[in-house]
Amino acid sequence: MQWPDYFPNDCPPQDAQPATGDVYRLVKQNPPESKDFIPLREKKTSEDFGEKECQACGLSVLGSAEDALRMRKRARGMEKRLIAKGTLNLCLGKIKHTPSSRYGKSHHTWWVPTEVEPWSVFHVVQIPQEG
Amino acid sequence: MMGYLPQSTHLGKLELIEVYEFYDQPILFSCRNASDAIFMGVFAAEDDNFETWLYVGVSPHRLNQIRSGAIDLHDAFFEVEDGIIYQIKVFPDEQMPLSMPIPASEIPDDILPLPGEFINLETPTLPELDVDIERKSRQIRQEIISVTLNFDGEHKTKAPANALSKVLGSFQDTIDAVGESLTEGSNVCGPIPGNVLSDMRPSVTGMGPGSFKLELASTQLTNMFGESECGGAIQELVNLLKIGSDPNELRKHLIRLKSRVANRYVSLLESLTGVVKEAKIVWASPKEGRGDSAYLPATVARETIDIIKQFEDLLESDYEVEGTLIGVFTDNKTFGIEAQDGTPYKGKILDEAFNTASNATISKRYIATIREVTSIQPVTEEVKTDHYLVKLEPI
Repeated sequence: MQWPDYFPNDCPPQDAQPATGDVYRLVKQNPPESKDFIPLREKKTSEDFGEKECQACGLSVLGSAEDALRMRKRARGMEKRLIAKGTLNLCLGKIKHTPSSRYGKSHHTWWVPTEVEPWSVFHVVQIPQEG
Repeated sequence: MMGYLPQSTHLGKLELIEVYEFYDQPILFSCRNASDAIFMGVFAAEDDNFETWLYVGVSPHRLNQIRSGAIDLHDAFFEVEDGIIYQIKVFPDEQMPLSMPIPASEIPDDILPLPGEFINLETPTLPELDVDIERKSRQIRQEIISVTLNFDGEHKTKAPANALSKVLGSFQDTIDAVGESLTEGSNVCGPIPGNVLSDMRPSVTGMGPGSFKLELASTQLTNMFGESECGGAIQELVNLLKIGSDPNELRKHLIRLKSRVANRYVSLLESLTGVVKEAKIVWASPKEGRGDSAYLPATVARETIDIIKQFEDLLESDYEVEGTLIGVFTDNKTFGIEAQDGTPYKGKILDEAFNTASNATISKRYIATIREVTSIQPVTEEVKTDHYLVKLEPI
């Protein structure tokens, strides 16, 4: 796999796995577009992310739609975003489970190779609101 | 990470404390600036032109309430302590963010977190703020000592005030004595102030059953190189604690530091034994690379006391006294001198002072070099202090 030039050495990390399974991402466009899949490192080219540099090169995806719903209620900047579902496979890069008791157990970081168009594997879905 | 947060707003240089929601970047978090003002931040709105982020100042106590779920996220940003919300607009082209303080009442409800959303973290305290004494030491340019005491037995659920008071007093005495032995001055750290429990942030912090933490800051500021005499004294004390009960090392250090330190150190150890199961001391210094820590179980403290008490021969120190000669008895080689402050010194005349002393004039003023020898009585374990005249010079 070919990774973008701005990825640091050892990124994706050694313990990242081949990407597989269903994941969710919050997007602005329907259908999702390339600008819904821009890593923070590309948006903030001059910032120093220190030890989080590799994470800043990846994209957040969630294993659970409930985590996406909760996020929209807490950070209202996410409220208008749509929930898109994608099914990842071995050709679509590497993924690492990056959960935290603080921000949801289903959080993953996904590193996308240069040859992949991530928006093409996602489609917007309707998730019933909790409670 | 600083890169996640705006650095050039009037909130100052922000760094993350904790992240509660993360999506490509922290979107709900706590952070603080270089002067330790704490803020909660949240990603509040976005359009094609900019993102809107909200920051509110919070006290440590309120942050704990928010973290533990006592306050929901809506109220965390709406019912703010200062009544002010900082609205920060972040632009996609990396131009400088715009920040603006706004009365909380003027913030539209549709950009605040929804009511009924709680963080619900289990930990009720804020460890990042509690432990970072190195940072605090650099900020206040003072030496900081964090003392953790694990109380034993009947004292397990609360720190007995009298025991704490003895530990603090003995600690201060020992630091003073060490400082004195190093500098020939006295009281190099200054007294631990009476308001130690408020000014020096030395709160007694519960850290689980039977464990108490005291944080003490020196009253002496460091010089431009980040050094202080107090720091040197603390280093010596930490070294002593690290030696534990190694007799050879103890002897070597205590001979250098002299009898007063040995006596005070024994008192400090005695204040710990019997009530404390173990003690840990962490020292942070404003000077980079300086600072240390020591761990002392009660068993080691007891062994150390026994060993130091065997060092009777080293418990001595010489000092000068200016006073009036009140007696010289050549037959039994004894002397008496009354110091300026009225303190009487009596004892044996050593051979090297005998000639001068035997020709001295009673009622005249002299500078006497006195050797003070402290010993512990084998049976009663009482401390006994003897004085010897080493030298006598007329003024």
